[in-house]
Amino acid sequence: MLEIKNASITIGGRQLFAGLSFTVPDGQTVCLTGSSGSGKTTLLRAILGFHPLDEGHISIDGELLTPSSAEEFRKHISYIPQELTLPSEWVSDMMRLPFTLKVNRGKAFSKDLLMAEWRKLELQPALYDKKVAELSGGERQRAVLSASGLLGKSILLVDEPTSALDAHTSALVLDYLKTLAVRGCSIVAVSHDADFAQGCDKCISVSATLP
Amino acid sequence: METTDISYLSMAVGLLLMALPVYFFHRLGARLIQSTAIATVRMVVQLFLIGLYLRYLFEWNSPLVNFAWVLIMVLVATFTAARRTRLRLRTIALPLFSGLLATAVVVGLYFLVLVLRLDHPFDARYFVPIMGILMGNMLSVNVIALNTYYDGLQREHHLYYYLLGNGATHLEAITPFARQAVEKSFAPCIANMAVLGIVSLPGTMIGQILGGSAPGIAIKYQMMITAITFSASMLSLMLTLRLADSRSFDVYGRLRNVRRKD
Repeated sequence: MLEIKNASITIGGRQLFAGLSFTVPDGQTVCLTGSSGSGKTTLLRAILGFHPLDEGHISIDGELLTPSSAEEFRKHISYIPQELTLPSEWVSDMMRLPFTLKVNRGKAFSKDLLMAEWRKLELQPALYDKKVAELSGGERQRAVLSASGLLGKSILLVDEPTSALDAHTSALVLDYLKTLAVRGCSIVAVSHDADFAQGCDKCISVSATLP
Repeated sequence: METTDISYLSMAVGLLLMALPVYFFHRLGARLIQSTAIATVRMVVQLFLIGLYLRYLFEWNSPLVNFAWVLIMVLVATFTAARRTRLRLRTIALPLFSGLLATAVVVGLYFLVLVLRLDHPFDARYFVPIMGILMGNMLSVNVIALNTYYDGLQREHHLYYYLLGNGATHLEAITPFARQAVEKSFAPCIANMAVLGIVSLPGTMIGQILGGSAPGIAIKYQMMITAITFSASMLSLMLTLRLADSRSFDVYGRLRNVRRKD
């Protein structure tokens, strides 16, 4: 379980949020909402250990996140930033990239398993042998998501997973995230998409005015 | 065999050739005339001064003085690289100085002691030019590589955080950027190496032949110089990146503000 307790972050003298507390139990989907610049992405980065909290703490299964424990924490996390451009030329290489990391080498990459994920996200199998540049923004977004799904981490942090998608595909992505949640994955997504947010188990509004 | 000296009048005749590119800069409207003039004057003055220094270095032939000369070269190379990469001195000065010095000493002495088998490896005639050629090559590779590395980290920060956020160690997360830096900085060296002797006759070889060495000896030296400059460039870069790491990233793994504003 991921727990954020009494979290506050101020950047450049501007308080992004204060006193923010919530939990993400195993198998739940939580959507962080709020206006642009309210600190949603910064909060995701704080959960990853890339940004310090001014006050409060973050823990996973009761273990506190500290700069020295962050790398160990991230072994249990999969993260998809917004506007991600991976250095791979081919889609097949892009899919394999996270599996080349030492921490993920125990998780065997299988094209068959990946294709099963792609079917849920309505991605055409033929895309696998194409160049990344031939993919649309939405296809790339879903392909990266499928690789994270295949990693099977216990926590998935995803920034604007539906920003390049139409309503139908956004619903597919939400359904896909729910299938990951059913497998026990805790999901924290940042989104401006109201339909997506409503479909999540919990919505957390991130703003400086929180109690 | 004596090397034919060049009189000052002949040198002036030779330098007249510089007028040709300057003419085309003028015709094409390229804003390079002033910088060419400054660079030419600097080259002439610096080389005359170096000629003077070297004369005394060779006369004294003291290991301590020779080593002090290398320290000065490393110091100048460090500040030159910092200026060309626009990296903050507090980030890069000490790592670069240490990387260049350690590599020059290790690779230079490897060549002088194990390859040339000199009884006096600090002999100015060998020690000073070998250190000089190592320094020049290490400097150009480090400048290109450091620029590429830090530009990549700044431009593609999403990739860096994606890798870390999916469980990569810090080393794994910076590896794509180090790879880009190495590829970009070493590609010209490899291309040059591949055409040595066919498309280009390198400076060391020409210098030796003009100085009276047999071509057979000159090519052996050229091969060795190519090998030591190539490996020294890589070793110095790896040392510099390793030593600069804790100065480049904060405790949260974020890239610090490593570039100067000017």
